This record gives sequence, structure tokens and C-alpha cells, in this order.
Amino acid sequence: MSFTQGDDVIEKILNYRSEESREEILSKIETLISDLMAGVADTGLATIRLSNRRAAESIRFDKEKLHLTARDAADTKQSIIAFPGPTILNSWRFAVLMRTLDIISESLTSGKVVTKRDIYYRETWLFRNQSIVDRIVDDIGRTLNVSRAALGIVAAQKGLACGTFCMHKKDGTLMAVEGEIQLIPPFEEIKSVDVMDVDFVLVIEKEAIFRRLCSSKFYNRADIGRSILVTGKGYPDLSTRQFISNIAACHPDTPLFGAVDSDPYGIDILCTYKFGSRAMAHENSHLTALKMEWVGVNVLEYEDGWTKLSVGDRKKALKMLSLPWMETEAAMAMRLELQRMLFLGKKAEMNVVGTEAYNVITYLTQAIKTRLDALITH
Amino acid sequence: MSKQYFSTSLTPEAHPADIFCVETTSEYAITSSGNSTLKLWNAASNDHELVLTIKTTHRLGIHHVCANKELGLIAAVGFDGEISVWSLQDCSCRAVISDPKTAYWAARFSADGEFLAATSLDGGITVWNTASEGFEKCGELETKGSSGLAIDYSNDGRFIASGHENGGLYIFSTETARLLHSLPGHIKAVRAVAFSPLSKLLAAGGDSNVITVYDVTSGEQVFNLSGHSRWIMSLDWNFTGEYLLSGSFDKSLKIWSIEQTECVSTQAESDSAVWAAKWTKTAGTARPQGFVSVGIDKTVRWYREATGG
Repeated sequence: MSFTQGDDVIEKILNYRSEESREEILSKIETLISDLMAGVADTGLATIRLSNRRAAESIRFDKEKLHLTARDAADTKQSIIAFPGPTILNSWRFAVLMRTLDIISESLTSGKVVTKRDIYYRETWLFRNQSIVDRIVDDIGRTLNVSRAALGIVAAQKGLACGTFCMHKKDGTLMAVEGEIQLIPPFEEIKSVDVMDVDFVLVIEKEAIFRRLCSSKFYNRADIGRSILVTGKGYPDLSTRQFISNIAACHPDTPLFGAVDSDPYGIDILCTYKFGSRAMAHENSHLTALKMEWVGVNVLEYEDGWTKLSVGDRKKALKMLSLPWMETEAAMAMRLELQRMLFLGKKAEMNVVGTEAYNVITYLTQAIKTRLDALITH
Repeated sequence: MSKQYFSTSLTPEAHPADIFCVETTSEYAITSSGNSTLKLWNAASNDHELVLTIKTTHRLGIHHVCANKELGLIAAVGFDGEISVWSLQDCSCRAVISDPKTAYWAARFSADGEFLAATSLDGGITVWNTASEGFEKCGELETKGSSGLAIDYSNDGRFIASGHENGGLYIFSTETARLLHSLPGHIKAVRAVAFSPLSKLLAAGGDSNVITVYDVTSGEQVFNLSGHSRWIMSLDWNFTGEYLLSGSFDKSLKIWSIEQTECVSTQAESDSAVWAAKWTKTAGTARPQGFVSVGIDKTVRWYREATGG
């Protein structure tokens, strides 16, 4: 059973551009600061209202389009950051926010792009760790109602792709990939992806398995055809998700498969590709690939090699089962899998599937072949 | 001497998810699954049609269900770790039991209905008094901390047995609340424990694929039953104590003769794992005893013994 995203969503994916210009955003930031200064003159307190991006109240599940989305700005949970604040923690948060806005304005003015990593390294003593920067940058995006890309922040590249395809870049160049492993460029740099008639696209959770498949030339096979192999190296970053959702939208007839470990995190990774993430709720509509089909591995399919579900795994599985999309038809197979893991207290990783003779490559070949054959008969 | 059983009826798509557990009383077979509804099926009729549904609030699914006919109560344990108790008469909820520190797993009423006992994932066993308003806790048994996966009360009410994730297998005295036996024989998870009807023997099975049977008084292992190729998920004695019914991850059910200590019948109609199977308890011994099984294929299957012509 496959699911298609609505035409309006496809529209959005295909036409996704930074909606606001640099000047517009710079002026939004300036307005923020001048309001703040006016507040200082008035009350002696500098305050900023920041939209809290991840808070559960800020996010809702769109039952029709089957992805997470942000509530309207008016309904969003907001936090107030003030200086001087009642505690040192408040003052610190204010400093973090101000310095980040400063760095963003600087890069927008100069026309340079920065990564979140770059921002962190500018003032490690202040930011203390990368996740603080990650969060504040997205909160700023939400508050100003613009994408991270519009703020001039690009993702450090993480995802890998292999096979035969090419990418038309915005700077006019053509990046042709011919059977070698390629880093997926930041999506802001890509104009379009040409999959050149591949028979399917396969997304793999783990880099090790991905590399194994590449070195055995899994992307070019007589029995299952030509394919593009992709890995997000675990939880996919923005560029990888954009890459996949763009391919899914531009090539609706090309099957898209996902292969993850049979554990709660693997299932979560698959759901991130399919339904979106809580962190990016305000951008999810152009980042999801609802039609991605889960091809394995299943906890039932092993001969041995199961490991015990840890307390943390169990908590994660229960948390996932409570998520709103877990009760939809689109997520049924994943729901059953999580329940079986909990019932048996077991999980299994992809690299352990099968024995010497029957390994992950034969497993995936079989799983994909079954599905491709089923598509033909329809 | 082998026995012949045949499937008399089956209800496919009985639930929209795996059916994890089945309990039988003289009137019903009660099934619980990955969705939040308990279903009660007519045990006495030939069609075994659906008689009642109980909508619970276990949104994450229900993996264990047990019942006591005298009390007219059903207890359901959800993946959320809570136990909900329902009246068979009016399908109303009588109690919801939860412990923020742990999750309950397997539950069983005592034969006389006075108590409800349940294992939890932290290894403990809790006992509640069913007569008290809101089910008051009246006992706690501690084991060495490995998740309790299975529990049973002996029919004479004197013993509780529990099986655990690390292979732990224990018999407690209900009178003294003390550990009587720590039974050897399992180093992997024990998923099912069952006392024989006269409370003389205890059968246990799990990830070793072998059913071990012990003398309750001495704690000695009296024999083994081998034949399943995968984990034992459930065990149930028939009312005479002559036969043991096992359901396994290897997709089959087996009936074992205690006298011959060997398998006398194998049923392999399902193409996926059997999660649970129980003998039916229909009143009147004119009808030969049958059983009902459930599992991953979402089908409730009823079997009856083929009586020789």
C-alpha cells in the first residue's frame, strides 16, 4: 500500500525557494532590535519574545497531509528572554540570543553562508555546546517565520549518495555521479536532481551497510536494476531529507525504499523521512517523503542475532507508539513492529541479519525484488 | 498414540493488529491485541461469534488478559504498563492500577478470585485483594530484578510461580509469602509458566525451546518436552491434567501427553507466530475438549478433537 502526498505539497517541494530576501530578513532583525531598545527606554528591561519551536504545544499533526506541522504563530508557545533577568541563566540566554542574531546579520550582510558549526566555533565559551546553537538558530527562524536557509545558514554536509544520477546546481554546474560515493551537497546549492530512469531509490540507515552495498555495486544489478543508494548516517540532516523528498516529488513513479535496523531508533529514522521531525515542524511540508516504503529489517525475520531491548529502547518505543501518526494507516506496519519488539523484549540490527550464506545483501535484494514484482502486476 | 485435532472455525482480521493473548472462561474466549479493544467471543456456539467488545484506554495496545468467572472480572495489561479491571456483566471499568516506577507485565487471578497477582518489568510481583474497593495492594514479592514475563496461581491457591527474562523461575508460598523454590533449567527468558490442575506439577517454557516440568513440592525437574524449534510463548494444562498445550514462535501449537511425556499432536495452520493458546472451558463434558489460538496473523482459531468413528 503506498501513499501519495497532495498536489499542493508537491508544488511546495518543487518550488521551494527562500521566500524572503536578505534585505527583508535583515530588516526584520533590525525591527526586533529596535523594539528591544524601545523597551529598554520604557521599562529599563530588554525583552524579546522567542517562539519555542519544539514544544509540544507548538506542533500539531496534520491528519490529512500526514506530517507534523507548526501551529500558527498566534498559538505557538513563546518564551520571553529578558535582560537583566532574575538569574544568571536568563542573562546567559539573552547573551546567546544576541550574539547569534549578531552573527546571522553579519553573514547576511556580507552575503556569506555559515553552518551551525561555524556559529558554535565563533564563541564556544558562550555557547558551551553545539545543541544550544542548533536550538537557538531554529527558534530564531520560527520567530521571524523564515527558513534556516533564508538566514544564510546551511547544513554541514552529512548524507551520502551513490549510483548513477546527476545534480544540476544553482551555480550552473552539473554534478554527475557515476558509481562513486558522493557527499550530498547543501540543498540550497541544488537546482534539480535528475535520477536518469533508475528503477528505485534505497535509503539505508547505517553508513557501514551503505558502503558495503556500494562496494558490491548494489546500485547496478541485473536482477533488480539500477538504483540510487542514499544514507543519512543515522538521523538524516536537512539536506539529505530535502534531497529525498525532492526526488520523491519529482519522480512519483520511482519506488522509494527505506531500510533501517529493527529497533525503535531505526523506526524513528524511517518516520523522520516519512512524516517529518519535531524540530523542523515549521518546515516539514517540503521535507517529507510519505511514499517511502519500509523494506526491513523485521524483528521476526531473524534466525538468531537478536539483542535484548534496553530500558532506554523500551522508553523510546513507548514514546513512539504514543505519537499521533502511529495510529494512522500509513504507519501501521511500524506500529506492529514496535509492539512486537516490546512483546518479545528484542531488537535486531541490519548487519546481523542472516547467516554467512544469506546476508544483508541477499536480504535486501529479496525484499526489493518482491516489491518491484508486486508493482509490475499492478 | 497420537491425537487428532481439527480447526472448527476461524475468525480472520479479528483485530487490526497482532493478537497477543487469549483467555477462556466457560462462556467466552477473550482476546487482546495491539489495539485498545478487548473482544469476547462466544465459546459455546459453533460460530464463536463476537459477543461483546470492551473499549479500554490502553491506547498503546494490550498484551495480557486474564479473567475470573466467579468474580465476573477481566484484567487487561497494556503496553503502557497499567492494569485495567473490567466487569463481565456491564463492561464497566472497576479499577485502574499503575505504578509510576515500573510497568506491569503478566497477570493472573487466583482460582477463588480473592486475589490478583501481576509481574512487573523491575522483577517484582504484586498481589492485590479483589474484594477491597479499588483493589488494595496486599503483598509484594521480590525476585532478583529481572523482568517478570509470566505468572500463574496454583488451583489450590497455595502457590504462585513466576518466570523471568534472565531465566529465573520461582515458586512462592502464598501463605508465608516466602520463596519456596528457585528452579534451575533456564538460562534464557521464561515466557510461560503453568501449574497442573491438581497443583502437583509446574510447566515452564521460553527461549530455550524446551518445556521443563517440575514437581512443585520437591522442586525437582521431572521431565522435559522437546520438539518446538523456536521460543515457547504460552502453556496451558487441560482440565484433567493429562495434556499440555503449547504455543510457539515457530508458528505451531503442540499437544503433549504428560503420561507419555511426548508430543501427540502438532497444529501448524498459521503462517506466522502463535502468541497464545488456551484450552476451552465449556461446561459439560459430553463435548470433547478443544482449544483456541491467536497470534500474529490476527486470526482467532478454534480447534476440537476429532473423535474416532
